[in-house]
Amino acid sequence: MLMMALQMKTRYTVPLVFALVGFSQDALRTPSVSSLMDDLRKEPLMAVTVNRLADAHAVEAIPILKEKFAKITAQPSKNYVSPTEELLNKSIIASALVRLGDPGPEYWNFIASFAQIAAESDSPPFPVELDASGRLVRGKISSEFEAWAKKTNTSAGDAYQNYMYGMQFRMLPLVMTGDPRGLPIFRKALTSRNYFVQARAAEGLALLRDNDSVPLIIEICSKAPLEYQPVIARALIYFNDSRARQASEKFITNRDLLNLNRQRYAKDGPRGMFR
Amino acid sequence: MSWVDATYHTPLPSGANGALIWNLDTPGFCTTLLGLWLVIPDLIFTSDDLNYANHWLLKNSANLNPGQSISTGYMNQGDYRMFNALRARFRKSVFTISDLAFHEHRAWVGATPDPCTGVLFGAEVHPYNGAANITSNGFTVYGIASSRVGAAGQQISYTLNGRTVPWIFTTVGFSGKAGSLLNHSLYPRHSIYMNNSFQSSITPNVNAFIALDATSQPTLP
Repeated sequence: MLMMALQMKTRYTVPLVFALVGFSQDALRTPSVSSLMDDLRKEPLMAVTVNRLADAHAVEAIPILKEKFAKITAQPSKNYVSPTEELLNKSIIASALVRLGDPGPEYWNFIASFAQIAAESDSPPFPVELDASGRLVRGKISSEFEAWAKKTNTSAGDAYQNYMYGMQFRMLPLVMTGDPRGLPIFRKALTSRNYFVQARAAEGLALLRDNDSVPLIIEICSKAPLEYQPVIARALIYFNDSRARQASEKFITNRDLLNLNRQRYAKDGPRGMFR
Repeated sequence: MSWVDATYHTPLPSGANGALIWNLDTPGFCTTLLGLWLVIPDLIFTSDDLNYANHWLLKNSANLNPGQSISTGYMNQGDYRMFNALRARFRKSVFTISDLAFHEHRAWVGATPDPCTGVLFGAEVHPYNGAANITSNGFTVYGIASSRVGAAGQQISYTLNGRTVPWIFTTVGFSGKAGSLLNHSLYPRHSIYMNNSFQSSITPNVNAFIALDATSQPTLP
């Protein structure tokens, strides 16, 4: 009797609790185009604003974006340092202009050369210590990476930041365009030693629906340390390809993550990766 | 000593979506998610998600507790946000301070641990960091320390919160023999030491701090 009561309680109260939690949450709204335009005119420039305007196909933003692009004189550098805030902003503006359909070659050239640095870079070894099972050891820089920094006379802190965030960011503005001209750069970037560059390249290829790259992405996933296999494999969910679907199930063991990304793919196609 | 205290963010706020929690707690996904957060507020759907993300980022970039006295080993690790130490000799009359000589003013900016991996990396230093002088009313000797998270962290905060990042700061000083904390930011925890012996600490107010922007910064007293 007690067991039945518990079962009844579980069956009826759990969905109710979830429903209540759902109601109590305050959903964040994407700002309107007019408020994004107001934000765009203000300083400092926020990359999130520029990207939202591109998402909204707000072509009225083009003149301001072009003006802001022209004002930033910084150029991508091949040195192994993280891009400056100016470069980040310039690349996001260029990416938005390409997505909004501006034909100016300078915008495409800028994000292509930015991504090429990541794709062609002779990447150092992974910066954080991994244990025997491929799991990350928190707070510990790998001795291989430290030796690389010493040998190349690079600051380990700068190189760490560049490996983890700088390099993947160099890829992102190009990836987000979904422009087929990026195909050779993404294919090249798949061969990088940087797992995050590989993950962004796989996303770019999914957005281009380049099913020919699926076997290589699967191979890369199988060679990556355990912790980084699902990171690269996430892009496989966004290919319309049975090999990719099967492999994503193998590498991504978290069902919730798999289902969330499948829902996003069903709703928005490959662009669901960035929604 | 200004440091991020993990216990202040424990437990983390409830109500965030499961995918956000899982992604942040899984190192590889954490780094790609933060990479996206440079531009896109991915997996942030509700105010509960945003609140969770802010607390999670701070909790996972927390510093070591400096303890009852600050050891050389602690200082050498650089695992603190900011250290502001002042020792001065001066003559004080009713209205003025004269013969001022600074024996020590150390305004040291520590490193911020990457919330995904725990590896330390650099912060941005405020132009007033290291400023030390007599206040404009002539009554007090002061020293300032101020910094904020580095460029990538700032960009992430812009994306999530829609505002520039406020500065953290302390202004320490002497108006008589006893030193005191003249002014401070609302975050992180500021622990006060006298002759390297812990006196008290100021409990942070992170929600009020996050609501500020870069205009919240130290002023010359």
